[in-house]
Amino acid sequence: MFPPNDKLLRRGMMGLWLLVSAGFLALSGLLATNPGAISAGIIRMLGGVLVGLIGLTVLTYFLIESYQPPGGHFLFAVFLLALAGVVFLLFPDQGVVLSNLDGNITPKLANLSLFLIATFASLWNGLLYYWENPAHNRELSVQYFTWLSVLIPLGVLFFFITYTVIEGQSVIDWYFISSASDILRGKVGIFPAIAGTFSLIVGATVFAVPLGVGAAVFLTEYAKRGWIKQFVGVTADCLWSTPSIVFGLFGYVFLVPRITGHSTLLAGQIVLAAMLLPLTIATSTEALTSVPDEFRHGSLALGASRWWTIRKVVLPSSVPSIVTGILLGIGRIAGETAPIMLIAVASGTSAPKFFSASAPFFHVDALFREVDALPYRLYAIYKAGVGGSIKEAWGTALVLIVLVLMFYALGITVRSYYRRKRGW
Amino acid sequence: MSERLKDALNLRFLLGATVVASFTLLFVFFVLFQSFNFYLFLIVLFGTVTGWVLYEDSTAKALLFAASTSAGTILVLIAVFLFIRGFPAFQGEPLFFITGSTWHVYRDIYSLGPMIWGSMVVTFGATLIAAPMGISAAIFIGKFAPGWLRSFLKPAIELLAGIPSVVYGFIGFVLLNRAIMNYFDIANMGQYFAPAIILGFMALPTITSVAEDAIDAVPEHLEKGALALGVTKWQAIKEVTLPSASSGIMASLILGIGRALGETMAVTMMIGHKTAFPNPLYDIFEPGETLTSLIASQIGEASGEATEALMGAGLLLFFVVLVLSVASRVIQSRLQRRFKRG
Repeated sequence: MFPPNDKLLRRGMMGLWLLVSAGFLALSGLLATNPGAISAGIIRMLGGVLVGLIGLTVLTYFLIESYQPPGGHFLFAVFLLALAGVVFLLFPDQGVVLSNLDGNITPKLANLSLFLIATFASLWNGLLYYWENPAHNRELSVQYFTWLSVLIPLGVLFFFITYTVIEGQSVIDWYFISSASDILRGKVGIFPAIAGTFSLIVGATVFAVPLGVGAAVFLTEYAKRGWIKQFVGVTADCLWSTPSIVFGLFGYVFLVPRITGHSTLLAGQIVLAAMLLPLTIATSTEALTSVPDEFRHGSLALGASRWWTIRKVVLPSSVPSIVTGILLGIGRIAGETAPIMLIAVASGTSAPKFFSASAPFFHVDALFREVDALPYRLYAIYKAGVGGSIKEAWGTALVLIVLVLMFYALGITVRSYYRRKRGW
Repeated sequence: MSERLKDALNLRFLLGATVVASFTLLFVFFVLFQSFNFYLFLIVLFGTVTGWVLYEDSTAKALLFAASTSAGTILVLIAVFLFIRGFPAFQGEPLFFITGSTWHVYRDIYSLGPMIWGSMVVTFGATLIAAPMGISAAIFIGKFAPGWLRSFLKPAIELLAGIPSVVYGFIGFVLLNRAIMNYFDIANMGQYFAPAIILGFMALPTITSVAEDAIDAVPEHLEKGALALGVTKWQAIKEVTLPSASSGIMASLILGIGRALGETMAVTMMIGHKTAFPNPLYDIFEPGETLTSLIASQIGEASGEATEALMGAGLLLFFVVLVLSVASRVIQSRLQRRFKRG
């Protein structure tokens, strides 16, 4: 139909968009170094050009028959670019509203839009390439995009961890880990926070694991009706997605007045247990469901009762998976700050003393005192103003990350070890 | 007496019911009278131990049943107590509380409008990053990655969710906030923009793992059938797998949004804490506040009406996230039912 040599036109469009994206990237760089280099009129012109280009592209899309049918992402990309173009057209001087401390004029919005447009225009080119090519080339294009979207988050993760290690390792020595801060000698130590975090974790595990595993056993072994399973599943899901600060508020209005009226270790343990519970239920249910029914039938056929079967056959064979789930869950709650901030912690407290060499050997009242915790310590340093103790903050972050990584590594090791070992 | 009733009324059942009832009593006592009655606890403990010795089976079953209600109980407690403390904030002028533009502690004027807007902006930005990347990461892990890479990538993505949010917040505050300040030449440290980026990476693992489960749940024969017709792998994924898993992917998006909405520490550390609408409204480089960061930063010093208003904010947050997670659950179960039937 419309032009005889549509292949040339398609190539032309692709080249045009490549140029546009390169141009916007360059402009974005220019604005970053020299804000105010572009006047409102030019920005408005750019918007007009953009809208025109989009119109041309859409026209081409509808006029050229041999364009292979693109999906909804085509329209989405058009929509985004059109949006940016309209913003340019309507608010060309938006960026000139605020000036920064030096009195420079900063085209904020324009700069951001340019940045976004550059990004999207590059993506657009990837998509055009995708539409342009035969099926087996598309395969490569898609693999490239998906691979990229795995690499970027992993890269961020790697960068965060490496950066923390580099910044934090200089403060970490034996004193830092094993002692409390000594103001007189000017030495910093985070032992109370480490001990506090561990007592929070242990308490939460003690509360949550019997409840969670018990619930999972009841669901998989006893509950006959679907609705009980549905109910527990839904409530566990809801509990899992409840924001951590809401757990903190809950502890603040419910637990604190009922325990001592002020922050206590026990309140923190209970609230963290409530956060660990849904994870334990989910992973334990999964672990118990994966135990083959032949195990149960064999035991029942020998005359064992149902409870005996659970105790001697079902639970032992699913222990590794349950332990994995719990370890991963602990890794999650070890770094929680928001829930314990209101109900369990105070900075500068000493490590909880549960045990002593003389009678009574175990001190219950340590449960009813405030503790310090690693994540809270980091937050407290931030709140006090990072400037002075930034090294200490990086050190605390590093210890916290190592702690969490430890639980993850442990969990994953247990999982892979038993997955290889078990016979079904 | 009918056969069923006789069955139901036997001694074992009664024992189990007693155990559950005594736990309930102990619990109700704790909730209502605000104290833990040690003697009542001893009685319950004694009864349970006796029951365990005499009828281990039924006692165990009753205890397990009690355990299975724990999640629901906690959820109900959260809802009830947040409601009791937070609802008064909605009672005066509910419309003003939600849509008004002033949060002023010294003048005792409280409305959540700017915070709701902030939460929406930050969550939208996070979703913009997390959704495309998370879903295509799920496609890669579920379909393209070879086995060994997959068993490495899944825990690695899980780990991204495992880094504590306070660490994200700290790194974001020290690196990203400063970088954005320099790059865009902005006078203020905290804005909506930086936390949205970090939140995107925090919500990504949720989206990836749930979407990957959904992609995994699509029966293999569907895709194999398409492949047998001669299409490429990507065509099979696009035309068969993804449409079949679409409701699961939708559920993953909803869960991811809920995660971003409820994330607290990272936002609290990176946002500018200004309880007013940005001017103009779409300016994402102004300091702002979200619901979560408002609660986290103010509850410590709040008293009286301010506490009430913060509880109201918590109630709103809890309710919205609850609706989101129930919705995603419903969508997911619809997916499961479809493949069970088909």
